[in-house]
Amino acid sequence: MRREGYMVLAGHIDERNQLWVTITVGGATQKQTIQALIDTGFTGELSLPLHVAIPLGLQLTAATKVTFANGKESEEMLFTGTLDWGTTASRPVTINVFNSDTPLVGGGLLQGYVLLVDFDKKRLIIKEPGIDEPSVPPEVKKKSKK
Amino acid sequence: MSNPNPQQPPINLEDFSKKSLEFYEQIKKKLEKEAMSKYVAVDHETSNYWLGETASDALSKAKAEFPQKIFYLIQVGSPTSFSIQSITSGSALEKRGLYGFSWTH
Repeated sequence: MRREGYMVLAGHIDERNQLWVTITVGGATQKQTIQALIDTGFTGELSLPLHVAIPLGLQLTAATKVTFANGKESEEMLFTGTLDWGTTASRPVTINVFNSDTPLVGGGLLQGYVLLVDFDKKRLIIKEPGIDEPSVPPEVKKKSKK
Repeated sequence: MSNPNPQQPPINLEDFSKKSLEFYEQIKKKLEKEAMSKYVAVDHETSNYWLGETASDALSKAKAEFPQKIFYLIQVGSPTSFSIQSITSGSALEKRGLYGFSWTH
């Protein structure tokens, strides 16, 4: 894993106030840059739709038990790939593969990151681990002073 | 369908999970005392386990020792390793044979 310095990353917020980031995920056969939805209801690291996961050549690494939205639990397979995001290159990432449409970044991947979300201005700022405490942008500070 | 990854022999997921959980039961008390909420990758065949702060940490340590093995991942003290609130169980993969697993109900 190569890492030089730290970065502040930009994500984007869509018209439905969903938070998106651009990441590059790779396996044994290829890398792909994708838009992934930040899903705080997902405690894993990364979830990929089947059609995104298969061409990457991900390595089957483990099995585990997962709880789904309908409360059901089931044994699922876990794959390992690599993640390039900001200054992080080729970081091993644990991947769930589901028959879904949207790649999801879960809380497990965001450990150590700081997310600043301004829904009003549709601005998402992500601070990589190692950056100082989050600072509130001056215009927000000004507004909150009464 | 042929196994797309011949280095990983097909396994029966149900049997694999059962044996892994049986092994985990033997180390569960110790881990719940010493490593609550951490992730553990277990290998029931060698009776080894690897702890990590994250799932990837635990699995990377396990893979470093046994690159070709498949492990069972558990979050210590939790009934499941992950939860996902935007997907129902119906969206889980149905064609498990794709990865060389045989799946029995």
